[in-house]
Amino acid sequence: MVLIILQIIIYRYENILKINVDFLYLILVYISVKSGFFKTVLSATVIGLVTDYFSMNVMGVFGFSRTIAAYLLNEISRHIDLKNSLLVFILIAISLFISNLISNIFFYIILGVKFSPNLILFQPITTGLVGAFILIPSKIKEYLDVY
Amino acid sequence: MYRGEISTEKKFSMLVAVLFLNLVLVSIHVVLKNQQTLFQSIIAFIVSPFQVASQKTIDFVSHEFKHYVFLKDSFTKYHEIKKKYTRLKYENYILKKKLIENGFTQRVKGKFQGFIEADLISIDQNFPLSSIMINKGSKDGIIKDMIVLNEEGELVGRVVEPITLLSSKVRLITSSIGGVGAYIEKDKLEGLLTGNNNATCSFKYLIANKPVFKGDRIITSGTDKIFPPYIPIGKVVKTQKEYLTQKVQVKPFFIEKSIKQLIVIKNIKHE
Repeated sequence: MVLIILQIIIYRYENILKINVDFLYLILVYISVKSGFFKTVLSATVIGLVTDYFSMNVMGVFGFSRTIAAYLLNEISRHIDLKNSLLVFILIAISLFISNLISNIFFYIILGVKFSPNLILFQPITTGLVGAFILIPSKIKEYLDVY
Repeated sequence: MYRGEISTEKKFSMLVAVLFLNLVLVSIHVVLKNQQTLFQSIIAFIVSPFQVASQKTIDFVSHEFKHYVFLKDSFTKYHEIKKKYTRLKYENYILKKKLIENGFTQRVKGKFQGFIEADLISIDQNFPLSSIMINKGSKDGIIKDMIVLNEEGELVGRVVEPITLLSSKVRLITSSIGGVGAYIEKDKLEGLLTGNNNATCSFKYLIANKPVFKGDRIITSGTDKIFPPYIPIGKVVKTQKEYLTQKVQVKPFFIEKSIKQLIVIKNIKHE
């Protein structure tokens, strides 16, 4: 709930805050790590569609790309030591990079918009950093069943 | 860590089905040429109340803070506003006089039926100069193609779908979709202003024989039948001559100003 409110605040004050963190994606990471395949894929689609609504572009683009990212997260997180914050950062950043790259390819094809470094590079890095930072307290790791 | 055991075939078929569903949504959107789809309306209908509620809560908290905690600058601000008010009153008097002299008041009479004040709810995080969401929707009388201005009466964009009960989307003039009929204020040299999803717009189809200079003001021409004439848009920041035409880059006025509070113009009647 806190992450959703933070996301709404970021969408509203983006021009003042100048930060580009996808808190909805962190919710998706949590679900992908904690839950099984079906829950992960369905949640990814729902979160992706909500992101589509917030991003005010073509419906289904983030739904598509977030589903692929969530599938990757769900598969890869089994083989990764989530106690290690660096690995968590890499996992979040790379999966979000892939997801946003797919979205940007769609935007390029459909809307003709150029490749956005903000979307492809900065957002994965900042979201990865915030995700790794959130996971530092051991209680959260315990809750995620990775400690 | 517990995970339900599902066969790989089942997993893949479900993944493919979900991805296919998303692709169908994308293709519906593309086929309808960015028009509002039923699905989009449903998502907007579900999400926008939460968005508006959060925005109102944030506004309430920040309002309380501003009024009861951060009052130390209020006296200076009061004097600034008083000065601004006096200056605007004078400007208003001069403009009214000029409009009457030019017979403009008769021409625009009945065209502007009033306005709606709106607050910004969200900005497209990935393409911040493409579109925004405001907290006024069909309940407040917002309809498609209404013109949106900033607090200083400068052009920001126009209302597009989705429009829900409580919110609506505004496509900024800096968006790469659409364009605005405009001209250079000083010599009425007309062209089409299109956005590039960044801080400047391209002013196209300007003939090369009339020179355009840095700092020239651009205003709406009204020829597109969407945007009414005489609304300030921005100023020229770069010019480049070509064989028959000239390439002009325009920086919209709203870029450097706050778009927290906006004005939506109601019912413009075009001639």
